[in-house]
Amino acid sequence: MIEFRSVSYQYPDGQVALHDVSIRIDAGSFVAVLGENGAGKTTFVKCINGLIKPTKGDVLVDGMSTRNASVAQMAKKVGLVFQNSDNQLFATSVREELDFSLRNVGIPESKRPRIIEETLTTMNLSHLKEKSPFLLSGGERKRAAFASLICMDQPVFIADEPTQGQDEIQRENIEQILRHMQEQKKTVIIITHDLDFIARLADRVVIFEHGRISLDGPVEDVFQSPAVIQLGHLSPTQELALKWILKDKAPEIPMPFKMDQRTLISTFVEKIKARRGRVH
Amino acid sequence: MSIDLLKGFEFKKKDTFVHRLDPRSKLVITIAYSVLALSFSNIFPLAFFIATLLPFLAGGRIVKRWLTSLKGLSFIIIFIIVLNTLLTTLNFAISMCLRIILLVSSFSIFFMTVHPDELALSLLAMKVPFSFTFTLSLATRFVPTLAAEAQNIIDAQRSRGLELEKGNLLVRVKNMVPILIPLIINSIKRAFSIAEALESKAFGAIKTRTNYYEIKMRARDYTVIAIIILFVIGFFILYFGNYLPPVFYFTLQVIFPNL
Repeated sequence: MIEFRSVSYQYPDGQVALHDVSIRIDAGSFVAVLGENGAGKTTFVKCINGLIKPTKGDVLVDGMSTRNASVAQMAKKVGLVFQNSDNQLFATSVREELDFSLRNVGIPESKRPRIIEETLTTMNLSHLKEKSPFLLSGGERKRAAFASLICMDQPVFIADEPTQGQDEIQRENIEQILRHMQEQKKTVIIITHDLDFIARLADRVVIFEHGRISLDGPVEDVFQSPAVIQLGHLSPTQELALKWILKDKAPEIPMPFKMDQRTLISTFVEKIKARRGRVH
Repeated sequence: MSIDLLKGFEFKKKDTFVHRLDPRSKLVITIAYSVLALSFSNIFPLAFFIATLLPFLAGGRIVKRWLTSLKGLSFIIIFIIVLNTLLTTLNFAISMCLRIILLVSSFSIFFMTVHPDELALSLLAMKVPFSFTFTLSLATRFVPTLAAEAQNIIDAQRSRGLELEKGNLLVRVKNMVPILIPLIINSIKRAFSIAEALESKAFGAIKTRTNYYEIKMRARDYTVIAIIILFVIGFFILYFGNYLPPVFYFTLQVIFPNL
């Protein structure tokens, strides 16, 4: 479990990035963090793995305060994939990239090859294991960056904008990876502006505004109103926009958040037909 | 090595006497102090030169950032002290540290108080071709970007459990590899992108250029240049003519002959 107790953080230049943030994230939950640029999302996740120590308050991960732990200690509990995955890759091969992470957290050499093989298979990177990360495509590099964290098997996994700049196939790959983690009951936190992604995966949404949490709730509740679009600085999907219009025009039709476009339209068409039938 | 060192080369706009000086006069200061740093290898002359830079640092209100950059230099200083003490003498080790502090400080004054565009203009005024001045001003403009990127890479690798502050000197140097490789590769990629962007904006299509702003040397600039040149020549005469107090010729071997 992750717990923020009245956490504030001010950067050395005086900019207040987090202001009295209190939140509890249960183990095994999938949380989407939203908000405009500079709202405090990245600072929030950096507080979880101890890269940033709060200027006020406390962050607890599994009961351990990040204040008393080094980032290396926290790396055993929290994996964080940065927005620009190129920043994390440096080794001469994908296999060595994973080996570096495992060495850092003290996994004995005898166990490392098996863990590396398993992770590469899960991430569909086995055929690229001896290739230089710098010669991979953008999507493959992203997967290699994910793999270099996933092999450490931390209970908490955080990804900053995992789908940014990725094509549809790579988005699906990343979705599969995150879904796999969800099945393994890991706590997953993603910073994203990708509504489709949130709709398919997240079970909780937290919206940041000027360093404070302005909205926090189950994904179904948060996306009940178009106000969330403005608050989270998002672009509504066609599906969501249609859902809100229909909800406004025909409030009697139940529309669960995770209803797909086809079901949504056919439900609505049927309802209209039924209404016409009543009129005639 | 910390990225704090790069803070000593980052321009911040301020309205001070040092900032108002023409970039060419500040370039003279930097060159003069570099000559002094490389010409003397005794502890006291070098410490004296550093002390004479303090009025410039205080006048430009950059003392705090200068100290931060020196903090970032601490790793190199330790490295120099250990290596030189083992291979040469402690006196030489301290001198080399003071020399690097003096060199970094003189360049810090220049880069912290000269806007990259002013730097380009001053070089243009000295008849340096535009492509060179533009490259140089672009390079200095990217120092803060590079510093931010270095910090991001450090954060990314620390998140993977890399401990930069632990281990002996050799381990610490080895730990820099995961930081330096992505930084170099990203910089090369960025350089290519910028080159392509410039070419797409017809860079170099017109040979003769005019500038919106023009810089001009004033009386204060000539005064500063004259003082600096007199100081350098005067110090050389006084030092090599043995006119200075004995402390300027002091070495640690006088007290510790075995060091």
